[in-house]
Amino acid sequence: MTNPSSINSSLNRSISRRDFLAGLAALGILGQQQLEAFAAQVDPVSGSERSILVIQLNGGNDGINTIIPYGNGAYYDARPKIAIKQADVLHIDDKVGFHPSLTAFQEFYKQGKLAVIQGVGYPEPNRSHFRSIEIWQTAQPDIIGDTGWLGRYLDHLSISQSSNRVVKASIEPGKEKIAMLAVNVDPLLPKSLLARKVAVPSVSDVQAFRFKVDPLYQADRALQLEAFNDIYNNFEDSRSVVKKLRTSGIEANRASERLLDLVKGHKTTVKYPDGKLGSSLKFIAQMVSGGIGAKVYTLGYDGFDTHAGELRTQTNLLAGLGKSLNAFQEDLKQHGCDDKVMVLIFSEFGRRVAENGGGGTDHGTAGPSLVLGGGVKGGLYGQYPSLTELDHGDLKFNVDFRTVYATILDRWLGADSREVLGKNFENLDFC
Amino acid sequence: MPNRNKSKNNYKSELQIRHLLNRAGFGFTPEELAPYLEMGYSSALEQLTSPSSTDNSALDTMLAEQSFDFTNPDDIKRWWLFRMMFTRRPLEEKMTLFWHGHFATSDNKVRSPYAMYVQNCTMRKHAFGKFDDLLLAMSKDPAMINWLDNQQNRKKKPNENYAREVMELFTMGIGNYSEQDVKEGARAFTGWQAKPDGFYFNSGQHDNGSKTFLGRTGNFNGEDIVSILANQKATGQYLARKLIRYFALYNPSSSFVDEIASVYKKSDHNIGAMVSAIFSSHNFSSSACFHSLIKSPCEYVVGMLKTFQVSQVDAEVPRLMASMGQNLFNPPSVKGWDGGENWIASDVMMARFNFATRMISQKFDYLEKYSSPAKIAAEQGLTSAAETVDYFLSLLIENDAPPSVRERLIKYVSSDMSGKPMAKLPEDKVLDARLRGLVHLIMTLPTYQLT
Repeated sequence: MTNPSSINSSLNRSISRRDFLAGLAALGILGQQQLEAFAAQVDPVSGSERSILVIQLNGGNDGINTIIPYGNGAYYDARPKIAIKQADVLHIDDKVGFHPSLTAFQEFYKQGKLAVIQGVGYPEPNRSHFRSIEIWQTAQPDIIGDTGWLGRYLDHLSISQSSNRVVKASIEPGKEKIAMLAVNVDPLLPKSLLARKVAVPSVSDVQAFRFKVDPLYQADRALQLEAFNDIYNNFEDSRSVVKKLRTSGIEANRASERLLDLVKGHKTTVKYPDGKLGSSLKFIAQMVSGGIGAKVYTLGYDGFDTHAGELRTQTNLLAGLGKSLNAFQEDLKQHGCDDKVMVLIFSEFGRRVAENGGGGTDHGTAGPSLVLGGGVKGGLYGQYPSLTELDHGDLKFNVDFRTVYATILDRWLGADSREVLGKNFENLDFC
Repeated sequence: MPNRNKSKNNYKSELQIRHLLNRAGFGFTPEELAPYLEMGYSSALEQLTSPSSTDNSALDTMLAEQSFDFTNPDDIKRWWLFRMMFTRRPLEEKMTLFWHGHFATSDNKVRSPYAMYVQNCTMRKHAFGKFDDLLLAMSKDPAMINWLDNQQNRKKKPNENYAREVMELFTMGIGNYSEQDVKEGARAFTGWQAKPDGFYFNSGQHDNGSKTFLGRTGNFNGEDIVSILANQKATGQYLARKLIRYFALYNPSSSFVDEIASVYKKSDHNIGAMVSAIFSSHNFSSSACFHSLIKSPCEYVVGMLKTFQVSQVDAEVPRLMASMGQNLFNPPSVKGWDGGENWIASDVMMARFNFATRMISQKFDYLEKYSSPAKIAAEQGLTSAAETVDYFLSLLIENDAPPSVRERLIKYVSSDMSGKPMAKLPEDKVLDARLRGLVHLIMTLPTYQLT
């Protein structure tokens, strides 16, 4: 009998694991027991329960003051006012360390749950917030894309789900879960989630997200909702703007009912920090532990465009980030879900090596991406860009951001990164 | 007036005027519509595009009576919403909103409602004039200087933020300049600072050296940069496209854009001329243009308040507008509001639906002038379910819905509290609930979201 682990090592990544296993079983190459053992080895957490949370730090986070090259004199030369003192840096090794606000991240790093990918960027970097974020979100630096990388992933997923005949036999009628492939926890849908087939709901305040009627005529709500649903389901109109409005309205209603149910049942003892980031992460933890089955969650965290007053601003923002993610991990752990969610944290660009005249930094290029949680092999990846051999004052990248995406798509989500990204990108080893 | 007696031609021209009013303003009360119907389309267009020749003193009196505190962040929003609701120069307010989204500045960072108010007034003052004047005024505006860190833009250590955004977002758009131009532009704006009482040129911090900007060399300062940028062909194209997308169509043909860009050039950069040309274009009066734009939260909210003649703006209204994605004086970024489909992510759809609920619920019944659905039905003498549905479909969405909608709404209106169909309209409390529900349902329709 062939050893499952040797099959594992020669696994051809262009076939999804699911198809591969089904194929093997069909050919009778592996018996049922071996099949299960193999599946357990390859997918310790059932593949269908894995998800990613993508956190976008808006504004261009200063990577050099986040993952600090405290062992490099050039750092202090370039930033006489805003460099972080050596004694304050939280060590990763004898060359680099975390910003002092990121105590939680240092702890994650020590536990082997945090991967720090250095020098992430793309060729011919764009220093416009909007164009650069669009590049990260579409994964298309060369053209103005009209779908997001996550949107394309969801489109492929929805196709394979509907053609996948494996049906859970134990669903009780009336208790079928409405599949929600992704949830955006921000008022505006990021371009990363723009898809051709899948409509992703954006929900930032679940309590407000409920179809309301005149408070004095509550009894009428059911009749109104029925009329609403009939009207929307039968609204025939060929204009594309009307079709989009229709989809959005239907999705809003369905998502609202589903999410309200979910949130009612969730209990936690974890205290999240005040503010939008904390409450958004709490909501995501509710959805994950409530088993909503979404593969993707997205969230933005604003304020990183530190042209002036960087020290104070970044200290506060990173403290918020560390504390909120700490609470999030704790909450997931309490519900046995902390190995199911992989968190990707990135920003549209890093900032200039030299400080400017206002105690801040201007738009730059490469920066670190961080990956935390489920399935992560912690450590330092990529190389810290040189602070002296620069591209017009900016860092040169050495890790294309699309390899980070490819790694997550191929190795964590069991997808085909080539289909989503348009071509083959190497995988890194952080998962 | 009920439309059942109108001839087909009259109805068509009424639709054209309603279309114009919707785009040139924020909706209208029945009393505001009547005179425009009287004067006909070309006179209506003439009047709307010459705001300075319309007397607006009634608004000024009304605003003075409200006594707003311009240092209060909620009051400046209410002040502006009052203006949108009661101005006799709707296009002036619509243009001011356009500029607010264009030179997008957020009080979230500026933290001075008074400075935001001053910026708003400056935008209104230059709304229809020569673009160069507005651009210069914005470059010297204290809120803007603060917002884009020009306060820190100094001779020895320039700060590039303003120079970059003025090219990327305020004039030519991306792809028309280099990183070197950004650096040189920043040098020209050094020393352009703000003091509590206004703009201050700090000559000690100004870089007086020679700069090379967009292929020209000289000892440029901010005024020179403004002039160079306003004269770029790319600026005319960029503004033309943006104005068309705001007033007419999301995906204009390149010939339409060229047409309006050439007005920019020929009129010596006059914004009013460009806007008039857009409204006069056959592209605007085509049926493809009708109901082709998604209402911004501002249009949605103000339009609804005007339809039902709500005469006050409580502090909740700006907050609810913010939950729909448009927080006045607090755009999400210097790019302003992208508009279009960006207005309709799922939870903001729900926020719109629930604002409509608020509008028709018994909350406002005590207000003078407020026209509740029942009041309107009584005034119009509507006696059957079909008549009632037809009237409100015409009033609210210009009948833009498939026949199945009308059928379903008639079924809803003529059912009793348990949903059983009735041969005639229900009575009293049930009728009141049905009318409010009917109006709510129409305002949740996909086509009610359109203008």
